[in-house]
Amino acid sequence: MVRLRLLILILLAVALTVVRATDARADDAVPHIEGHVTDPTHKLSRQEKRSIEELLGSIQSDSKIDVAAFIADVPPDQLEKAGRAAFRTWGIGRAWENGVLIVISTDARGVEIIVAPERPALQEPDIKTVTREILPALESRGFAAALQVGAERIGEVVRPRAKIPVARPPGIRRPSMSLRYAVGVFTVLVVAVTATLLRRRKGVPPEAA
Amino acid sequence: MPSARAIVDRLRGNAHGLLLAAVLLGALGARLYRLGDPPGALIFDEAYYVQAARVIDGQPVLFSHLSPTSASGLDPNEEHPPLAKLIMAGSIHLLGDRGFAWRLPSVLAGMGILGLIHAIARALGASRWASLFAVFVVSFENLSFVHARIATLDVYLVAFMLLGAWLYLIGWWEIAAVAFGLSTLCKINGVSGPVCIVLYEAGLLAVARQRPDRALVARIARMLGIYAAFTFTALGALDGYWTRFSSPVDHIAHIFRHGMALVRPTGPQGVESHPLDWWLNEAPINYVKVESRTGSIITKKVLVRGMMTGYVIFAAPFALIQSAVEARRGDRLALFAVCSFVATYVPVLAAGVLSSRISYIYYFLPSIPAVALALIALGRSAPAAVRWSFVAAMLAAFGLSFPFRG
Repeated sequence: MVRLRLLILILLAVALTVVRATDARADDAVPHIEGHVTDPTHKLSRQEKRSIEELLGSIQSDSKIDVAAFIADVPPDQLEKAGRAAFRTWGIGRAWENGVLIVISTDARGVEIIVAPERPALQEPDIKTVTREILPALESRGFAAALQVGAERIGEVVRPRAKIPVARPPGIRRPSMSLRYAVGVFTVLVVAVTATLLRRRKGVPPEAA
Repeated sequence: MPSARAIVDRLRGNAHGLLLAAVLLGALGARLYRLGDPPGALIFDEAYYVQAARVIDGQPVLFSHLSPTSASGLDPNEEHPPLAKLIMAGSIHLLGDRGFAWRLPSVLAGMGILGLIHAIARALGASRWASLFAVFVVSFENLSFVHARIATLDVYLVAFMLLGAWLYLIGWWEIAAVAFGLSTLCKINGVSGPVCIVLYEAGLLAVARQRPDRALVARIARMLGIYAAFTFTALGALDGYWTRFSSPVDHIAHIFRHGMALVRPTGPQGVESHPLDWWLNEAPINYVKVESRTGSIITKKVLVRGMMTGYVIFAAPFALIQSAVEARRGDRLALFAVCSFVATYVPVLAAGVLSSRISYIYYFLPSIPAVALALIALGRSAPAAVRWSFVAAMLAAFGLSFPFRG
């Protein structure tokens, strides 16, 4: 019985290690970020890349949403995983209001739109619309056109939103900490007021005045 | 039926009170006039502090001048203590998210400053007319006026600092320490308040050629102890509820780290300036500028500028030298003016000279009350015609620099 438990534990440990190693490999596969557009396999010409950089930069400037693009050298079925790893590794949107990552596979067959799961910059219907418009452009006109179409559609969604005030997500307060220090404040105030009143009752003249 | 002569005598007897009321009413009217203008716009650093107040109050905000980690209910502007922004947030909560709401507490603090200037001058032995003169200077001096009607932290800092100074001077030493603490909870420069008191007491001893007695040492130690304890615990209480800091030590460390990182070894850029530039009123900042164009004609509709009134800043060095001379002769008002100037200006100058700390002209605001008190000393030695000319020049300058002349 003890041996069986030990065996299960070892198997679980091995499974966990394998899962973690797989995850780590996925993260390891994330290339260095190159700007708004990361294209390690050079599917875009220098001119095309610069033009898309400018477009994404202007969307970011107007909307405070960090929009980036990644042409990932993975099969379409691994695109989402690679995109999420890149989104996390590069900290897309971390220094901005929010972030969106357009991920296209190098075989031009897959497109994924990655957003922060806890506070998505685009809702599911918007993501579907953008993806639907990118795919035909990708097939017929190539990577640059696909990224341009995708960026423009994302800009159309996020730019007007930037002009609508939105409440920030709620912060975490610690009333117990406040209460602890408030007791200190109260004590100091009692000491200050009592000391002043006692001194003045004794009729000690205010030397400073 | 009182005779005309009796009425004139009575008015003459109340002239000081009537003039003080007129100055205060004029100051209040000027500070409240079109307080919400330009509609919807944030003036200068309101972009940081009003945004912070909105986030604290949980109001919807545009993502501008905010950190991405800012969260509703917490102060996103962590480089300053939260009290002033909490006051703004409270006003927004009560009166709505509009200019009048976030600027009204500044007007009240600014009016408090005027009352406290009068009270301090009186407590230091100035005549009623001399005290009124100091109130007049601060009422219509441009930088004080502008900051008393925009939502930034400095007016709160100065108001609580002067409250502490006045309480100390009338013998409420321990309560004074609490007021200095409130000043520090608005902006860390509030520490200048207790420093000013220590300098003042040291100055009194130096003038009298005395050594400090035990009672004085105990009094100062008590004031500093209560100041430190109150500031620390109150910051902890505010931090627990309105910031992400788990200890006031962390928050104070963050404030100093942030402050020390604001350096420009290559010299001031843009709206930045060196503290020595301020003596020439250089590097003014256009806080807000609204123009209308008709063909080729441009009309200034609103122009709020961050700069001192020239007459005040150009007279300041002479007033401070005169004060230093009179302080050596034992004049307490002059001594206090010099000490409060040293406590508020010298640290900023030292930071600028020694570490190339970035400064802006409005950092001179806490020194204006000291200059106003020093001007009393200068005014006392000037003929009445010079004093009245100064008053007239101040009023003319105020009219010319009034933000809504278009």
